[in-house]
Amino acid sequence: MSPVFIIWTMLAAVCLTLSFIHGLTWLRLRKELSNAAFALVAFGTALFCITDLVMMKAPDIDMYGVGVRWLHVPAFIVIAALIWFIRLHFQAGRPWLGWLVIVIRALSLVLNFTLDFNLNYLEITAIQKERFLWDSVNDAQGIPNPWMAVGQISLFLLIAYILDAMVTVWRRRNNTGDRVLIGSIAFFVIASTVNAILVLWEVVPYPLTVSLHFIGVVFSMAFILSTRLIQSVALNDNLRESNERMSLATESVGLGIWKWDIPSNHVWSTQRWRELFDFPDAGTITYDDVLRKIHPDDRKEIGDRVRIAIDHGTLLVGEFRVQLPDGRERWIATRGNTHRGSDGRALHLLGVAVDITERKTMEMESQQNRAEIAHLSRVATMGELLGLIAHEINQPLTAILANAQAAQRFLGDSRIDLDEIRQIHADIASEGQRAGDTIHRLRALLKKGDFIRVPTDLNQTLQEALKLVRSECRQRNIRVDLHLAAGLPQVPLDPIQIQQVMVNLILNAAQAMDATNPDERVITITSNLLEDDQVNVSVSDRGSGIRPDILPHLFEPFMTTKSEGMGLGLRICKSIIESHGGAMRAENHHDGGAVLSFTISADSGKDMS
Amino acid sequence: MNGVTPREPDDPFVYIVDDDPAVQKSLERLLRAGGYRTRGFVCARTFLSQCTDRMAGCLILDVAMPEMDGMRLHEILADSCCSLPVLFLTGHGDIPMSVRAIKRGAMDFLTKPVQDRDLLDAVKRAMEMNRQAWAQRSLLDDIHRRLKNLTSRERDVLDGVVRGKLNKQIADDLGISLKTVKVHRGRVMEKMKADSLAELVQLCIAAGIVELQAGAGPSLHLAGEHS
Repeated sequence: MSPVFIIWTMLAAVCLTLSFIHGLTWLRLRKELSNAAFALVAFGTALFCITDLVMMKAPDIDMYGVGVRWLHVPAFIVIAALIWFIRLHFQAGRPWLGWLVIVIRALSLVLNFTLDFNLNYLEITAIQKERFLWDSVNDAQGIPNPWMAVGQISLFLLIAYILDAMVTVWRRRNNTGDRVLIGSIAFFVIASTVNAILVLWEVVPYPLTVSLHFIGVVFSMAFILSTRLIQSVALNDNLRESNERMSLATESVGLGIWKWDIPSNHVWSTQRWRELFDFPDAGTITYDDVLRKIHPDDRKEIGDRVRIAIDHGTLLVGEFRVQLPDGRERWIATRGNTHRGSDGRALHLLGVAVDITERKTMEMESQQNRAEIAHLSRVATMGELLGLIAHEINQPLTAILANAQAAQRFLGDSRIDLDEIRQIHADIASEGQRAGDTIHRLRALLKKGDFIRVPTDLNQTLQEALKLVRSECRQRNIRVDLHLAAGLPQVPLDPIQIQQVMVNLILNAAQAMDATNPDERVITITSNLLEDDQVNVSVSDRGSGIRPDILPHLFEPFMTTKSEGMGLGLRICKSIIESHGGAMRAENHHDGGAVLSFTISADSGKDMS
Repeated sequence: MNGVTPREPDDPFVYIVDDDPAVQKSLERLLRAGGYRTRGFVCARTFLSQCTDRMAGCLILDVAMPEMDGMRLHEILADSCCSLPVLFLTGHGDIPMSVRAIKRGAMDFLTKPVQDRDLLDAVKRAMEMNRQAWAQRSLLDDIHRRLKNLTSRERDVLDGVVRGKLNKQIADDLGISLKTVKVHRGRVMEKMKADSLAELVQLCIAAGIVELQAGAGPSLHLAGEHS
């Protein structure tokens, strides 16, 4: 066994092994194409080792010639694979140049097998023995084939391709491993090219050892690729750890994770998510199964939202009820994101879901509480209003009674004036209507119900409210001046609630002027449009204003200066206005008197919840 | 002498001030059905601007009105020469308010809605009262006219007579003869259209020439002297 034989067979074995390992890696991870490229480089290098060995140890010229001829097969494989690897791994190198190298190399391969002897020699005249690595190896002498230049042009172009890629990689300055790798590839490829030129043109008496240089390329590539493998294993560990952390977190807050694979219409999910939707622990779930679990009232909206999220790539946000077998309902909040393939098609929707039944129940309770408090305050306000309302109804009643009795008397007369009687009846009817309207307004104000916000003419609402307190104002010798802006936009509001606010504000203003000279008792109500579609309403009086020490606490509950008041009025007013997304303000007018005002947005696109 | 100009009242009306046009109209109608002529106002100030001292009839006044309420209008009227009796009409009359109104001279205090009989009765009383007041006033005007026809000597004699002086005392006081006093006295009785001394004294009391004195009225004196 000669040392050269042992070394070269071992190198070939190592290259084959590496080729095998990375080939397998690629088979398992099809995306890792650079592994396939490397496997080819290693495989070609193994073949190189064999052809080199054949040449070095060929017993005769013919055998040597066979080695030289077959050398071009691994050369083509290695060059093509290397170009591919550089493209894949570094994303560098000019593709056209790469293709040019491959085409020329393929041409030289064709020439190699079609020409008489081989690409390199027209004829090998002699083989002489050279000492090399404690061994005696062949060094051929012959007539170089001028077609050999084709192969060497491809080598120069390959060097150009590699150097260009190297410049690109080195400019990136961020990955030392990649810079060293491309550098060593360039070095070994140049070295092998120089070796081939010198040997084949017989400049130096030295055996052809291309394989040795490519071994260098293979090892440096193997080093970098295994480093990456190690990194990915570490990443895998990290991923598992973060998965564990994630599941710990999701379990502790009861978060269910789901993923809807759109092409297969298959919903993958965590166990928790299956629990939330009351699905069995195993079994496939389709999107339609999920929809069927959702409460019929919420189903359409959720379906629409999912469609919109998929079509527009927006975040899916939704709250809905799931019907449980025992008839209960479970509130679920979900969020999801659409993921798309490279062709822009939606691949899957990934999201989380959580049980919000408790929160929803509390929300509904507090909504109910708020409604009850508002109702209470309305009842309290009505208590104050009751006398006035009685008076308001008293007026039409007085007119009706007087008219009716007048009619009776006219009818008892011998000369009945029918026109007069007709007129009286019309008046009685209209006064009856007037009393009815008052009762209707009163009932609307007292009604305990859900708040519905509808686009409303705010000025009309203000006038309706004023009708309720007109008597009170008259009773207190108060003149009410209305300055309502024309052309206000429709404001989304609950007219009853806003009337309640207005009644409170007007009554407060009226009571604030008890000590004012009757001739100067005026309440001014204004409405106007501010910028940004904000509508402002203010109620000002000519009383003594709000005491400075009370002003900052005016809207706090149970803040009252009235002996009979509960101090809830302004507090409720403020919360009503705030529930309309508006703001309420109190200040003193510089001429004296208080100004209470509120602002509501007329933009119905604003939050209505 | 009293500056007396003869005053004749306008035709009697029921004046109504109520800021609610429907109520005002219906009240007018009811009163017309009751046989009265009416005039309605929806504002206290408008009524004030048209108010004269020749108005006759009565005034129905709503208490609660903006700017100037019924009570304030009543106050102003009380200080003026307008002498219409006032009937208050209110949606929710309370006792202190009605007491205050009555003290200021209001005739009545009615609550809405008002029964026709109550209203018409009250109006009837008020109209009668006002009619009597005007009659009283025209009688007084007449007495003052008669007094003005007396000569100054006759007036002196009258003053003496109604103060219960004897003819002799009057003659002494005035420095004239008893007979002359008697002649003057006869002319006074004639000009004052008095049939008896008692009637003459009554006329003078009505005209305010003689004041009634507590304990001993002049009529007692005179009656004694006459018999």
